Amino acid sequence: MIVAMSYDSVELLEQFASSRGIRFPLLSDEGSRVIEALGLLHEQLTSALGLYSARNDLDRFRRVAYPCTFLLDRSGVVIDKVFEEHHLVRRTSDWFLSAADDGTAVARGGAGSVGISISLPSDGYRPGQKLPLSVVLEIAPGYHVYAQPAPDGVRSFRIRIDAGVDATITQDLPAPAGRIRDDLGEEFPVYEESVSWRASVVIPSNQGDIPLSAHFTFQVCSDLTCEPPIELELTLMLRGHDLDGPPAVPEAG
Amino acid sequence: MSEYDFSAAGPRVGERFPDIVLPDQSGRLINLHEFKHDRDALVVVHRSADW
Repeated sequence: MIVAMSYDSVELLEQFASSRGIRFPLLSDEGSRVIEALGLLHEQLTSALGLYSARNDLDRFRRVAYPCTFLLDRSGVVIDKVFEEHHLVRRTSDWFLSAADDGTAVARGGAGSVGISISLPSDGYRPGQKLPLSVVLEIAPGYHVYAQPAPDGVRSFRIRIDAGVDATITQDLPAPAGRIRDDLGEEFPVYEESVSWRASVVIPSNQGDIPLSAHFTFQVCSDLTCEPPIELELTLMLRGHDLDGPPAVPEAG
Repeated sequence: MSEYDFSAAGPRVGERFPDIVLPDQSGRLINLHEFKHDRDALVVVHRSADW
């Protein structure tokens, strides 16, 4: 059985449960007293917000719980607990993998005001072939994502691509510069609207089916506030072909 | 923002989860240990259903 707990009000949880058809208990700890007593209050987040203490639009970030899960056995003893890898991680459940009709390999994901996709012209690879990986970041109007460097306390946009130990990954084009934004007298580069990256991935041998993953960390901000940092991983499953087989993928050009 | 180690936070593995009584989405008071009775349970602590 599952029981969830958050600092949301009964009313909010009722709306959430009925809109999603959730039957298991969503416990309401309004004021976070139980979360605090359990030692699960996110004090670092609250204190990090001291920087913006004049902004009451950040109140929802105060007295938040660490995202974590406890597994209890039949007698109520904790037999495992799992914390999210980073304290503000929001894992999105809507990422998915698809091989489109034209043979393109695409994975898309998103969170709130941001959508990200990674794609290759095909879901196959040959040893040593340059695979042209495309990454597209799309941001809703009125929002921005900080490029590098970001202001103190804000995550800049980062991509980590992983295709197994032997793969070579090179960026084909320099990272987009981003528009310069004036933040309280300091200037920072930000991404807005649509931004894209190109990288080449070379897998030296036929290792069968392998996952090509792109791991993103970033933080979405509006003029007024920044949402908590987001981590997102998108994965393409690639099929290995031998060198003497038919060409699997158009070369990067 | 730096990263923190949270593995030590909250009830420990091997200890009984504390007694908690909170209202659920229908306003019904739930006593966790009574509710789960002698079943296994997952207790999912999350930030918010709103954001």
